[in-house]
Amino acid sequence: MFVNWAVQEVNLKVVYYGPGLSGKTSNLEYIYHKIDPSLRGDLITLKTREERTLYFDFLQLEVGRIKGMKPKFNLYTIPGQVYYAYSRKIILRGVDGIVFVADSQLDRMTENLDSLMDLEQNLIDEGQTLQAFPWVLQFNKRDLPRSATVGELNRKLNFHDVPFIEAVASKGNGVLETLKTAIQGVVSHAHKLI
Amino acid sequence: MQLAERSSQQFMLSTAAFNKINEVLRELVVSTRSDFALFCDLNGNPITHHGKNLTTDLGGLAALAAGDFAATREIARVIGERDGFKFIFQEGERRNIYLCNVGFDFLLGIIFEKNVALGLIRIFANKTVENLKKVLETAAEAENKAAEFLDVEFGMLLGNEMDRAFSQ
Repeated sequence: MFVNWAVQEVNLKVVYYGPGLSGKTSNLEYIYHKIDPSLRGDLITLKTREERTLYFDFLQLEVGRIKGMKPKFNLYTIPGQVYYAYSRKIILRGVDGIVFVADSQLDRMTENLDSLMDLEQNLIDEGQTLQAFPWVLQFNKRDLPRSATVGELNRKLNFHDVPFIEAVASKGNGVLETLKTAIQGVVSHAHKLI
Repeated sequence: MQLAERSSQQFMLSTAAFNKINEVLRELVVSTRSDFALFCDLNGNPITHHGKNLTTDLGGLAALAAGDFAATREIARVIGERDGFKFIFQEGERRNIYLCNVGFDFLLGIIFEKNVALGLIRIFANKTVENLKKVLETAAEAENKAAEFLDVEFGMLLGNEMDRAFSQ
């Protein structure tokens, strides 16, 4: 969290984490198209020629002043593919909250778990732990056949009992609810720290 | 001068420090006849800027500059350049950009036209970095000041504001 008292701004960094093709960029794309353009910046995407996230996607949002302060949310996605480990570590620097976008399909459970373990290790390197950090789970692609049940997903991924949201990010279902839940978690966590 | 690495996830910048940073950037822009100077942190948060109105998307510019710098620092690490590279310089058709770190956590970006010598920018950038480090040593506001606004009511009002923004 970065607070600039002179301009009365509070900046929060939220990172969308998860395995490749789980729908992290789709979340940001929906938010970008849904939000009033006066409340957001450009959607910056650093993609490969194959339209996969190479480094990160970035979107800045703001809402009206609250108690004199202007909240700004800096949303980042990470590249999900295993070999972009350095990029993920860099993007996690200074993170305030995480949305873990899990792919609900049964045959993607190993990738979900590997990515979650990768997140935990990177958080430990930042001096944090998944247990004590504000994060939420988004169970994405709920519209696809061969999806695990919510109970199964919680059993396999939600071992810290964090908030979870069902979503179909490509259609916008659950996207804004996920972001709101994550930000509320960040504020509540920050409140506990001070 | 060594500037200590930030020890906390939270950083509060005082108004006095913000004003001093603005003054340092103004001096830099005037002395070098640069178009624009940006000061941001390495997490991608824009802090302040001075100069021509080159973009309205400062958040995007700061995120990209910080990402670029962090990636370059990793390249240095991979090839065994222990202290990283001193600066990044990109040459454009009309304008150039020069990026350098200020301590471990902050970044200075200077955008200048082709007719401004890189050597001049380097000299003034080094001087500016030292001045910024002095300001930053005493920049952090007591974190408990955040308790003035960051409470349960703030969280509730923020939820309402987000609902308003998302329902449009």
